[in-house]
Amino acid sequence: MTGAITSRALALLFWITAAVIYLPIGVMAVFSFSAARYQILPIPAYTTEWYMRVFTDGQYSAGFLNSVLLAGAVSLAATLIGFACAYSLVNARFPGKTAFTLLVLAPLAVPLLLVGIALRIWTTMLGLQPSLPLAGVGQVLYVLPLAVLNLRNRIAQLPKSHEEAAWALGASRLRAIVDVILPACRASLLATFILCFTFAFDEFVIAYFLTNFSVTLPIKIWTTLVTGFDPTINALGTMVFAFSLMLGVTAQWLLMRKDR
Amino acid sequence: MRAKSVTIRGVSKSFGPVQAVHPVDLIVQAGEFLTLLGPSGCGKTTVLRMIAGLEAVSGGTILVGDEDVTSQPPNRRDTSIMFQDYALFPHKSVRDNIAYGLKMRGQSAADRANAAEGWLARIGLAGYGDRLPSALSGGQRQRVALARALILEPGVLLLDEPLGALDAGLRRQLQIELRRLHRDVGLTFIAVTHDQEEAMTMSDRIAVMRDGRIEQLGTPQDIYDRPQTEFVARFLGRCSVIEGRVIGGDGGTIQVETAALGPVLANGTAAPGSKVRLALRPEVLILDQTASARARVTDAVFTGNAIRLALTAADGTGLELDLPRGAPVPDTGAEAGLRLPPGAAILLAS
Ligand SMILES: Nc1ncnc2c1ncn2[C@@H]1O[C@H](COP(=O)(O)OP(=O)(O)OP(=O)(O)O)[C@@H](O)[C@H]1O
Ligand SMILES: [Mg+2]
Repeated sequence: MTGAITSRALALLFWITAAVIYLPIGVMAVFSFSAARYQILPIPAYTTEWYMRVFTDGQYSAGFLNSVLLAGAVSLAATLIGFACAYSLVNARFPGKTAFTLLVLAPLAVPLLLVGIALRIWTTMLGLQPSLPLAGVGQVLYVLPLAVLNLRNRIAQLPKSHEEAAWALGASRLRAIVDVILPACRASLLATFILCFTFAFDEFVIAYFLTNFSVTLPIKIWTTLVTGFDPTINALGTMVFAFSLMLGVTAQWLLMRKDR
Repeated sequence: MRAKSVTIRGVSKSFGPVQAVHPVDLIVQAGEFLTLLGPSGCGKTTVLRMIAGLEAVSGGTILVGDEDVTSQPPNRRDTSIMFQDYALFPHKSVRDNIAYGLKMRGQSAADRANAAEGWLARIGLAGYGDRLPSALSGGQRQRVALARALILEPGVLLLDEPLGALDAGLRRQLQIELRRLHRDVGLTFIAVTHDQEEAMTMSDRIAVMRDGRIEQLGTPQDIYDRPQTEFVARFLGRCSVIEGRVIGGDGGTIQVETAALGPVLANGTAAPGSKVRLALRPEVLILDQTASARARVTDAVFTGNAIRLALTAADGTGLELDLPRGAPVPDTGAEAGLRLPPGAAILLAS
């Protein structure tokens, strides 16, 4: 009896949460097809003009390109570094392993704003000019914990004997990783890459603090919004949302499907 | 000859506070099939893994042939290991699994493929080369794992519970096959099992382990017929243990006065007057109504090739006796006379 009530309450909570998250996005998606310059109801006429604008306005496509390149590089680096960290966390026994784990995972808990400011101060002290690659380094730190957590779970599942068999047959440690561990982690590596990509792609704070002139898409959106509303943002936002959702679902699907 | 001996001197292993293996000395001859036999947790696998280099020793030295390998990593040792779960690489075809060691040795793809085909034929799996390990039965996987380990012709092959994952019928068949394979390849095999029948079927010699120590080392017959301790006697088959006092002896025999069966002759030496323990295999006791030793029948169980009687001796000691099939079975509760042929009792170390 109470169980049924609880589960009904939980279901209600779920739908409320979903509504709070997705309703504004839905509204945005609807208005992205509205011909009016302002968000008014009823919608006077439908158009795909704003979508056209996204593609024809050079600033958006430049931002989009920057974002894709940056997120791609960041995710690749984070996946590779994350794999190395995860492998050593699972296999190595060294003093301070717990401290190391905490250090790698800490950025998850620190407010992003602090991370951004700290990175800005630090890079300025080092005399580094803000730039896209610098933002990339910052973002790697930001998404690395995700990569490590994801891959650590997968590596910890693998039977140790597979790797040991490779050693006994003459493989070096590195060779065994390449021949035995990596193939068993293919799906997890891909999922990790995509997950990091979705996080890096719409990351704003670090990019804002560490870039100057070559802006990413989120920064472009931000500056557009600050200087006055433009319905193109609705179209852009809808597209970015669809894109991220697709990547996120793909990553989850890969993770759930597990490696074969 | 490729086969190499293994010399273990004072090798021990502790995992933190747990002493898994106490200093062990063992020499395995080149070309021998030796089995480490013992109950779960006695340290068999740990010894095997130390020989393979997968576990660092806490003390002592290990020689493979004449070479001290104690601090060598596994890929530098002339040993191969077969795991209980076979550890076949799930993403590689059966052929690539078998040829993996040759690849690590830098052999050309053509040579590797040839050698792998040869082994596939040898293990009766010709035509299975393109399959993934997941598409094989347990017995087939076991053979692939064997081929993968043997293709390098290692000086020593280590087998951890090689038949542990298979059902009883297949196990018995593969015990024989493994024995034959050992003779064919002429390499040194060191296996681990907790199944005494398997150990006796396959091995030239057996090392019985208990709590991280080797309790007894010898041929299967040695160990079965002359177990030195009650633990070994009980681990290798059924037995009853009776106690007594030495009342005389000469040369290799002693006369023991027991409460259960009266005077008994046993092989061995012990000081007159000392208390000793004797082990009796169920097949050595004989029912004989004229004998002076008496016991009460408490149960009779059919075991397949015999009727096993449980008896209680006059002093309350429990005894077991195998009646040959066809012999008349006494009623439960009846009193029976028992005779023990001279020398059939086994003197246990105190
Ligand atoms: N990596 C490890 N860390 C801690 N203790 C271990 C480790 N490996 C083995 N041990 C302990 O060492 C002892 C011997 O283990 P081992 O695996 O050698 O036993 P075994 O004889 O092979 O048993 P089984 O027949 O169950 O496989 C056990 O008490 C076990 O708990
Ligand atoms: Mg074991």
